Amino acid sequence: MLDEILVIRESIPIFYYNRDPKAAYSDDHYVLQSGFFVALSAFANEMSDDKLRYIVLENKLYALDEVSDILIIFGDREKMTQEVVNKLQVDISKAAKYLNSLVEKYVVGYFVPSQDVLNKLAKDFGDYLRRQNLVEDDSPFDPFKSRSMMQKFIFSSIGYKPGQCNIGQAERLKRLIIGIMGFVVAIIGAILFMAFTIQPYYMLMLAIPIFMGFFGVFQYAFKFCAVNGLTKKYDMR
Amino acid sequence: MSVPKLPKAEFIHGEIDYPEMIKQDFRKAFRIIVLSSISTIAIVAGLFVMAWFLM
Repeated sequence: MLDEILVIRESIPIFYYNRDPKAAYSDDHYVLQSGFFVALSAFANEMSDDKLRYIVLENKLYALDEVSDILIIFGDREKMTQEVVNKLQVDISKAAKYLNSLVEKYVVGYFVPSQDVLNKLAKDFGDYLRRQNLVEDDSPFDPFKSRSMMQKFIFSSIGYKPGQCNIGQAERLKRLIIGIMGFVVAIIGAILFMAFTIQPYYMLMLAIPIFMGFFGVFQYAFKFCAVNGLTKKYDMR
Repeated sequence: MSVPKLPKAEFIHGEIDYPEMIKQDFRKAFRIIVLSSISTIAIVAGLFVMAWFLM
């Protein structure tokens, strides 16, 4: 689980920083993405496609708007030692300076720079990051993949695992209570049916509370809500 | 740069729009429903048989 986060505010477009792509899916390293750079407005457009509108900041998820100028780095308390943070700060400061110089070089004179200009800028900046050994992954920018990675990272940080866990502790307890209530109703029903010696066929009516019981208990045990799973939702409360 | 102590996360519920995740969730949901159904059938059948001989 994500338990610490560094927030760095720079008056530069967003770029991601990653020294260790192999750890990109790990919870315990400061990783986000491979070292690509996109203009802020382009990035915001990527995220405003009703796909992913959130970004993690101070462990809260916020909608990203076009005026954001933040670089966000996730980290783990134990791995993110002061030396790592200092080194990171120096690296980022250098990269930010270089990026600002590129912005002055390429974007000057353009109110809204063309995609071609942004591509040149991004390529130049990517080359710089590689030269400085700030990135190791030079795979081309793939908007869908990067968004997917970002979303997976967010899911990982809040504990959602597809096909494994889509509800939090409070939601699990709700389902456990519903399950226990189902069993209680079934037991009372069975006792009443037995006591009043009604036809054995009436026992079949107990299928509903028994199903509720199993359904609730299994969802509690598996940390997974089947209804959420079928309706493409998650609830980690 | 700051290293804040983190508050509890917000917006920790929402919708999933990635096909591979949806598929995995769907499979798991289906498994839970099937497992619940089988367990229910077993228990109800047991009760029915028991009631049949008792009543």
